[in-house]
Amino acid sequence: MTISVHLDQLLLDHKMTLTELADRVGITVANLSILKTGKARAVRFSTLEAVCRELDCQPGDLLRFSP
Amino acid sequence: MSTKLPRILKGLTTFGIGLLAVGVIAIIVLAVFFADGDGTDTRELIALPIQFTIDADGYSLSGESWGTGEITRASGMATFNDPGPGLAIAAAATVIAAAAAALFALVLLRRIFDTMTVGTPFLPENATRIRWLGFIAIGVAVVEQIIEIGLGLLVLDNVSSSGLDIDYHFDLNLGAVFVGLIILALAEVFRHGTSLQADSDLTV
Repeated sequence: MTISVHLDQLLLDHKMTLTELADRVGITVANLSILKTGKARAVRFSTLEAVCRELDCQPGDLLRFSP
Repeated sequence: MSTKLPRILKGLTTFGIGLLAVGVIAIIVLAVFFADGDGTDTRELIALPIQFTIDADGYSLSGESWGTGEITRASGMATFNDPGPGLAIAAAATVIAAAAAALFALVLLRRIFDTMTVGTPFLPENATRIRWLGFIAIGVAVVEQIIEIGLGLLVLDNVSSSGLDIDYHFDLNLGAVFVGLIILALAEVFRHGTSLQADSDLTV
């Protein structure tokens, strides 16, 4: 996949666990794990908004395009 | 999804599989232990659908609004009580093949209902199973027709009848073929459904 997800790096920067983020954004750990491992086929705007809000980042910090 | 109906249907298919297995075993047991083979056994061992012409003068039809009519063609079953070993083996193979097809269809149905009882039925395996059900419906109708034509021709060539002019004509079970085609179409719809389900599952 040419779109890579950098959720683990953002969590590390904010010293936050996946479970904690899941609680804050109201998404199951299983779904966040799908996002973190790059298995997701699609990301809802609402999910992106919630993750960016809690991690104080831009969508571009979470997702990167690698040609 | 309510799991009550799939559970009931799964139970029914399990019962059907058991019934079929018992039936096949019973037929084999009856054939092995009760066929005496000396020509005195009066049970019908082979039954073939046949068509024949009959004497129009012998039978008449009449009705108030219909006027009078006559029967010129009729169909029935020809039963042979003491077939040769070749025919008996062919008949046994046909019964076993039909039972195998029915068993395969029931097992496929049971697995489909099984997935419904534990979660979503929208799995790629189920799409394949439904497709197989369509192939079975069409295949059974076609194979049945081929066997009937083959055996019918065999009867025409080797059996002499008194008083009847037996012939055979093409009589494919178009209903079964049509149902099979509908099932195949549904299988493709189902396959698309599984793809959408996968998209939904991997959307966060």
